Amino acid sequence: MNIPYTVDRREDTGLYNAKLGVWLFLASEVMLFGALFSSYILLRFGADVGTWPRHWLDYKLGAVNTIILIVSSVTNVIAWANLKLGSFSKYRAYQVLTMVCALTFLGIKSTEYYGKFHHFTIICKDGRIADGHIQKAETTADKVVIDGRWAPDMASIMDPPAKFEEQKIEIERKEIVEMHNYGPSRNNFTGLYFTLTGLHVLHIIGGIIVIFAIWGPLNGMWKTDPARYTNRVEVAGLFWSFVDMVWLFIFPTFYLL
Amino acid sequence: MNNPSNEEDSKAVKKHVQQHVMIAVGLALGTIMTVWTSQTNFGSFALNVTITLGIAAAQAFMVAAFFMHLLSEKKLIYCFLIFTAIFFVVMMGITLWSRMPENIIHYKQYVP
Repeated sequence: MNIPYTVDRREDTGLYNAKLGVWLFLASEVMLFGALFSSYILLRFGADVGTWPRHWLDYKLGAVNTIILIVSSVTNVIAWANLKLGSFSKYRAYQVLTMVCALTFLGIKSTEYYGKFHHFTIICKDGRIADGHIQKAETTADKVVIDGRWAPDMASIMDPPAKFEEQKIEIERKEIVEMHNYGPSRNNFTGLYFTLTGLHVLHIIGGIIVIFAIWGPLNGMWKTDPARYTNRVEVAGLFWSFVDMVWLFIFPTFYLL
Repeated sequence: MNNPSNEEDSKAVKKHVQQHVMIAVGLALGTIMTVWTSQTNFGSFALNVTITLGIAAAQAFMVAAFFMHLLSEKKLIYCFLIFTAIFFVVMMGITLWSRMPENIIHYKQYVP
């Protein structure tokens, strides 16, 4: 069966099928992420003074990830441009760089997630508050060991000092009243952070799968129908640039403000 | 056919690539500027938010305009995006409107 407009543009729209489809999909994606950003605004501006966390995320890691995604967008576009020039080998090489950048992004993100799940705030019976990363090897059924600090109050937890002397803290479990990590259930900030960045990570994974599939298993089309293959690369690139664009808003919103 | 083989097309694509590299450098500088503005006190938190998100919006525009070739796209796509923008602005507008002091209903008012 011959599907029309997979390569040629329709006279009335001036677009081929895949491009029309991907732009409609991206329009719906704007609303999906927009709804989550809207929730962020609602909760952020509705929070009482001093109850919204600040400086909980490492902005240096966020900035590195931003630059990695920008580089991946460029390599993706250059890969497509090389395909337009008929250079399949250069296309393949640049797409490898795109995938390496994407995997590096995921590596950094998983490091951040790991840190958050192992970072605990511990409230003791005597009112003292400890905050730091749990040392699993030394933590037993009777005591919890963290590398961190004693916080003077909860305000210091919500907006921690930029620099402090880290110390090893041992707390008997029977002394602990509450113990929370910095996971999604901690508060509205972490809930939104994990939801938005988690959704973004799913998009990155989806993007890698599509880019890899076109680059590897489906590349036979380059020999049989190169124009259609080039169009596939273009629409995958449009999705990838969109994913980059979303991160450009996530980074300042969660890491900097 | 989408695969240009003549020299003019080849030059055009190479120019296109150079342009994209320059834009990527601009985006990286924008990221550094975003970090700097977020750590600078402009007098009020609202102004800091406006400037930081303004830079992010400019970066997003560059990605859409050049990486996604939106500047040279067809009218139909602009049409989709105008509708998307309208829905997005309405959604954000409702959110912000609901946060205006006169629209916030404090549950404590109803507690005897």
